[in-house]
Amino acid sequence: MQTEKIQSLLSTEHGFFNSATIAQSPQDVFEFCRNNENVQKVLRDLPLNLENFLDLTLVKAEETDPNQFRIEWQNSETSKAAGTLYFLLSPAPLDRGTILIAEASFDIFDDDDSEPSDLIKVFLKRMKALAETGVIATTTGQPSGREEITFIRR
Amino acid sequence: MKALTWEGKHSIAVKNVHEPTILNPLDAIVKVTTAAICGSDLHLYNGYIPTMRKGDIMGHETMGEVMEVGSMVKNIKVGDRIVIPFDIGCGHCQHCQDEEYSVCDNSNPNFIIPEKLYGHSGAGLFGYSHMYGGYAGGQAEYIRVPYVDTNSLVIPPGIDDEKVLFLSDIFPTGYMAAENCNIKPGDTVAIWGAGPVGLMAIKSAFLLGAERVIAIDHVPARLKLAQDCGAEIINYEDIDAITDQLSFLTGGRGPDSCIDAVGMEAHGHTILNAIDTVKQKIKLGTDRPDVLRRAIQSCREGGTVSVPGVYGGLLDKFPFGAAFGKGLTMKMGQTHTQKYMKPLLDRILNDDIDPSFIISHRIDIDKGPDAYEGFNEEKDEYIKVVIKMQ
Repeated sequence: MQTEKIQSLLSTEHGFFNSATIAQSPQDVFEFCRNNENVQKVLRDLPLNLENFLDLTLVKAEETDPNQFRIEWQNSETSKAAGTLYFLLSPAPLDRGTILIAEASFDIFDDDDSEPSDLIKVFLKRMKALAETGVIATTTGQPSGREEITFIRR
Repeated sequence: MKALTWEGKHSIAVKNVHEPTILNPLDAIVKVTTAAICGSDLHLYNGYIPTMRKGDIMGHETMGEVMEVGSMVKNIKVGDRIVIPFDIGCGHCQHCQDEEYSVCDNSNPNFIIPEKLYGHSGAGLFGYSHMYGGYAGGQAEYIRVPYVDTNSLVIPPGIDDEKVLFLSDIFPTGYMAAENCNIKPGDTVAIWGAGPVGLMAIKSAFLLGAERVIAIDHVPARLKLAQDCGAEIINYEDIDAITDQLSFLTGGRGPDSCIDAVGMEAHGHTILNAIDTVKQKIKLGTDRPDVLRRAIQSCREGGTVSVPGVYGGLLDKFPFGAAFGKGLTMKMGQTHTQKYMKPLLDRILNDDIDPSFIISHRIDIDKGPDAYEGFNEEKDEYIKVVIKMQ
């Protein structure tokens, strides 16, 4: 997808966006990204406790051009933060899968804060991991000497 | 369970910690039978790798028996005896599909830290700082192995642990370092560092057809092992200028390829290394790259410099002009261990090589803190420490 076209599809002035390449076909990634369960899994345990703020509803999922897709998730009116999450999907070069662009615009984000731009990177990375492997890498819950049972020897 | 934990610079402890559990359905839990201390663990011990936290479990050279597998694991089953690669690949991303496992897209949950430092993140690594995922390491009685279908090599029965343990890191690392040299018949390979990776690189260079290998170090016991592997040896403390010596030994050409198997903690008596040492001590520098400087300076025109030694940050007085002027090829990076494990196991089973020759110490886990201290301070005595679990 051409840069100008991507820019034209990004819809908000203050949204935070980034992209990732997923090693799957655009059609498969489209099905993955429109699945609420997947989006909820990715939101879980993210910084800012986003899952507590977001109650997303799928409002649009369409093929805009052959093999190019646009998905729009909107926060419900009863949730704590108004806003929209967009996905734009297009084929990656050769056999490299799908370029997934995510744009998030929620009024809990501060325009001057760098955290949301990191957050969208983390969100995309987790989307990619879940789509490609079926799991999201974690170390939460593993053992360490910080929770030792007894000290043996130094 | 018992585990060796990082408690701060020059401080390793044996602690009794909780046993790992399955956290993802692609995980396995492995009862460790044998682990080893790697030279790169000493970078952590000496406090040169950032983002370590007190209590982190050490170790990335590990093997053992599979005790439990997650619900999505397909190829590995309870009871399998596996060697675990030090780098963690997901097996599905483009990099893993291209056998570039050490730069896997999906295995580092803390990718944002290296992304800010390096532009993009490498894979998660066992027991090697939170920048590389914060995964608990294998110098423990049990370890959780994520994506175990990708991060394991099943060992056939009847093969001693010590013969195959080093498939987890140093043998593939030495082999990839030699392979990166694109060795041709008649080639001379110079290798700085006759520690475990350097010794594996010597053996691998010969396996790949090198005519001559020249090993450079200053520790007599290590140079002796290098000589036993068939290398010509140079004790750099006995000569004035390593580049001149290598040029002389190669008929004025210089080595066809040079391997830096030392990395960020180079020793030596050059003025630049003295400056590096001071800067590193007062936190004005991250690495002591003197071996890399020598390798670039010594390599022949059009040759290759291969870097398996670990570097972490910004290199000072880096002779890039020499590299450019001589048209050098440089190859480097963490080893794509999974790519090499099976073919190198076949080499071991075929009796082409027995990597256990480097083992100098066999200990139980309670002796771990002493072994770290000895490995760091007494390099003439400590070549490779293997931890035998009870």
